Amino acid sequence: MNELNKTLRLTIAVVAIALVFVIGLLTFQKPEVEYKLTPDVALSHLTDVNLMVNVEQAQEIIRQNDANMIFIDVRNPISFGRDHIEKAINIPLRELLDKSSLKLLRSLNEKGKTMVIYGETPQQASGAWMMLQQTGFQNTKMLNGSYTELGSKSDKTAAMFSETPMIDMEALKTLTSAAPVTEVQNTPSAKKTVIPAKVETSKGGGC
Amino acid sequence: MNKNYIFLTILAVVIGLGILIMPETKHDNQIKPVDLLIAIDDPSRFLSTDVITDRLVKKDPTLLLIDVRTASQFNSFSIPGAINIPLDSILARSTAEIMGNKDLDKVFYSNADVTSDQAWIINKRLGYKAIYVLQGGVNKWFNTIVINEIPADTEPVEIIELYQFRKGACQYFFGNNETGSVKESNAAPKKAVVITKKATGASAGGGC
Amino acid sequence: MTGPLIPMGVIPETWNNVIALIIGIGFGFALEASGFSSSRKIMGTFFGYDFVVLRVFFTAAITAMSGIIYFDFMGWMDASMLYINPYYVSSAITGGLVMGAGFALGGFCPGTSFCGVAIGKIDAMIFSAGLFVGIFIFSEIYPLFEKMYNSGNLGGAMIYDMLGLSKGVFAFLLIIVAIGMFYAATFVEKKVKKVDY
Repeated sequence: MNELNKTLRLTIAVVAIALVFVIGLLTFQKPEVEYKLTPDVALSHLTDVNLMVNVEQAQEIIRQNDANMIFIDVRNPISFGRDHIEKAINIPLRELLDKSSLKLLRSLNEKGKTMVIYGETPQQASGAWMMLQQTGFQNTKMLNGSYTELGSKSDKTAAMFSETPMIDMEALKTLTSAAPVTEVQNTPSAKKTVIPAKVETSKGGGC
Repeated sequence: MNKNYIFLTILAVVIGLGILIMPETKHDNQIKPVDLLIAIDDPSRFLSTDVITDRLVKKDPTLLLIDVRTASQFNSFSIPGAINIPLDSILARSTAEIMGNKDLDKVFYSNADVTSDQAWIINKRLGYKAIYVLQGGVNKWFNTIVINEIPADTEPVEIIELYQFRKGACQYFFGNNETGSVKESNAAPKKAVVITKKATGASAGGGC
Repeated sequence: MTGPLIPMGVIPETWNNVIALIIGIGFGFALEASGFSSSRKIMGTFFGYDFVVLRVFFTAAITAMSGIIYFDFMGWMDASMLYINPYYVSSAITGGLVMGAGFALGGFCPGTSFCGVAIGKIDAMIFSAGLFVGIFIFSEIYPLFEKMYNSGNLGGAMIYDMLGLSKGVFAFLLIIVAIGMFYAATFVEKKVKKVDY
């Protein structure tokens, strides 16, 4: 029973525990950003049409010059410097969650502004938009189109980047019918690539 | 009773009470938002259509193409060998099993790369490894592999070789992907193809 | 090593054995310092005259538990990366009975027997020799047990999940139970006739 008194063991132990607590509380910091949406909710937002802005709507917003709609440009500063939507704010994608960007985004959010995210391609915009949605910026929309589309009416190369299917079934059919003929007298490389095709599983005929 | 023991008891109870009121920390393998943003900014998740085609032709068993479009779009046209997991069922239990397979390179694709990239972001957030996105999606795949223009003879060798590769790959896929109408309209060439198939089955060194 | 540092790459894998050695020395020291190299002390729990084994192990358990929970909360470590031994129901029960019988008969548990060897106790040496004989016999006739050995795998089962309690509530209850047991042990010790050793 006396062993605890001998060398102030108890005092040392209590001081050590207290020290650990103090250091723990000092180093404890809440992360700057946290997920506000569960993956399921975030997924459901992806198909929410109200959170998308297509090219026509975006052009309409630019025309109306609505003060409640703010464009956020997530392209790099060089592209932004070259050309951008009037009054758009440039926050490059990689700086989206920086302290200064968050401060700006939060102040816009508090003012009740709707932020429309656009990028070089809809894919770039979608990444930034999903990031903002998941970290609690519900007032954000995504431009479902490329930046270049905003200027010109129909840009075929830009349309490639959006989710409209561009599979020419007719071309596929003609090609399928033409293919075996050309194959016979075609390049040796075609032969090369075909060699590994020998599989027992193929049921539908063909190489 | 020794005074120290009473003190120790109080200390233990205090620590216990601290645990009791402490909010439970969640560990769900989700990566931090900041790390997710870095991953989103990193283009290395994009695989080009040529890389994917090459791996498909070589029958790479570690490659799994995941079509995140709707089932009807998947049925009308899809890249051979792909499986269909529409975006809205990407978090289903059966999907988690596929995603958790570390030995498979899981490549998402959609018409372009927006929907597939969204599927990628959701899965990346959940901490899954070895997931990729097909750059340009099925649109680009179709318009580079299936439809390819014959380059002029004056083009550099690389372009001609690329064309030959794409052309060969295209023909490779048609073997497994013939539509009914094509079979009818093209009975003779099909027959020829079938013969070569038998040859390949018999001898290891055969080709088309 | 199974701790969170090596999988995270903080410590290279080659340091595994060195760290294991250091922790092993620490464990041996703690056992020896608590007097566990004496088989009489260990048997005290069985006969009720000395509950130091119970005290030391329960203190260790609640200290480690509180430490892990607090460090996890403070963000110093990730408790989800700790390796949890898979729980095999039938083999755990059988193994527990066999080990308990050996414990009561020999007066050592595997760890304390090596402590006893280190300070030159002859009974401990015989005990650890028997340990190796047992390991040899077990490995030789392992195919007979194999089915039972691998049956009833519950994976890394957690007792608070099985009881349907939250982690915090269970930890608190465990601390209360431990304190209660310490007092009960002291009470029993006073009642039972003191053995001089």
